[in-house]
Amino acid sequence: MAFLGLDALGKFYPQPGGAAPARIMQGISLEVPEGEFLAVLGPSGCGKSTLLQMVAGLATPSEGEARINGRAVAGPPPEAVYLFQQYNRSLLPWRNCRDNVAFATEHRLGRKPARAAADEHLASVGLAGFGDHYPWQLSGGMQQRVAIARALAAEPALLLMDEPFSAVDALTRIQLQSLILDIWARRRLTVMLVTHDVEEAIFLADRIAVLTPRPSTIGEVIEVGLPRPRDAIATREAPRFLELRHHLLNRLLARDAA
Amino acid sequence: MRPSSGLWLVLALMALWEVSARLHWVDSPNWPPLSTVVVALFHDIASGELPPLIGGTLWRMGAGLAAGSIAGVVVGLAFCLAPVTRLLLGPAVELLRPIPVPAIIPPLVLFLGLDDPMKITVVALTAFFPVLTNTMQGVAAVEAEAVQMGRTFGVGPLRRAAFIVLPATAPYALAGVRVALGLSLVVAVVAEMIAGEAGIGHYLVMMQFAGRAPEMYATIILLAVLGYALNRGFVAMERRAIHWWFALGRQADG
Repeated sequence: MAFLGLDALGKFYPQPGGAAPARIMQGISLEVPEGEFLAVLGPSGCGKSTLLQMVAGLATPSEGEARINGRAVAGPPPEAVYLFQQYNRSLLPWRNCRDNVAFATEHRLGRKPARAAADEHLASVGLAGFGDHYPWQLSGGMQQRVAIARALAAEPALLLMDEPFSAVDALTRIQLQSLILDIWARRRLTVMLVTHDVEEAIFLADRIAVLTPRPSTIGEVIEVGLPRPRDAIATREAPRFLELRHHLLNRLLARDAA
Repeated sequence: MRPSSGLWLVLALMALWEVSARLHWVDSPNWPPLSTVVVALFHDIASGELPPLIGGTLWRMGAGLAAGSIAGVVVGLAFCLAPVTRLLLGPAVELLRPIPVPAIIPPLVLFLGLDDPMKITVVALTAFFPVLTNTMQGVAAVEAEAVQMGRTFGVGPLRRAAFIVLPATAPYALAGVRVALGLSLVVAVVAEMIAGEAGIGHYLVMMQFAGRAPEMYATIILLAVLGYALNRGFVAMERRAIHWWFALGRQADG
């Protein structure tokens, strides 16, 4: 049995006046084995974030269900942590970086142990010594590292990432992608990433599920098949990388034009 | 702070006051020169007559402000986070809001008497509404991602309210408390003028009855200084308490 299972997930919003409900997505079925890095790729507005929020228990599916370890998701599951796109909104500006990271665990461990562990988690994302800084004193990339450290502090088995690098500059994005791959490999996480960035999906993922425009469903699932460990430069120049990039861009752009 | 040209207007008005009384431009026993008023002020403070009155007024004001502000924050959070409370209490709050607070002093006297309980209640009612309104605005402005972040880490609703919503709302609530602070001094003094025999408000009325104009004006100046100092003190406290808010560059209005 797969670690994460999506079973005919669908989402629609009722319309006033008896009109047919607006379908955002339907029939999303996927099996994600433990330890896999799955990317969900789709154009803007196809409901990627909604899909991820349904897995995270932050949104309720209209039909079907998501299962983690065989249990249907109803409310945020303890195994999963959701990493937000907007780190500047999910970090708490009145807490310094250490206390932001401690927020993930202090309700379970108590304030002191949570704070003590926070410094280690900050160090593991390259922010040793930044515990006393406030998030707004750091660059965007560093803030997202704090958010990653906070996610890791909860020791999740499943990391759900919603376009986590779309708000940082291109070079920082490449660095953060490598950091995530490093963490994923070290901690044997299962990752579900939603993104509209074709190269990001290929570079990071084992498999890529491509969503169609609304009502979204899974158009195809691609095995990336690039060797690991992946290199920020060399992997992007591999023939397989370019072949996938060509195929996926073709597909996304053609559908956008339609 | 650089000396502003507005200060010159204040000095000019003070000079005009002094001169108009000295030269009998305004010829009335009720218009003493400013210097006489200042002397009366220092005399009443040095004689020990004013300090306990100031203390009493500040105590009633502070107690009422604290009670009203806490109630405003608690009710504001409850209205936003538990909509059923708004359904039940919202209409009552909206009906009470437009009543001028001094108007409820006479009936309150019947139930709470002339002393501290009545006056603190009146101040608390005054402080409650601006804090409530601002708190609710603040809750509405809390980032949805911050609350969802709490949920994804399994933080329960009460902890989320206390550690995410409340701190995020603090800048708005404090702006409400600052408004309430000014109103509280006004209402505390008005309550003392209307009822009882305590505080600066009562002293002010007594001096008027007694025809002691210098003391009367001295009391008014004292209130001006008090109000100014309270506001400055509050702003300094606010800058410390929510330093992150000012650092984010989103200045609270006002």
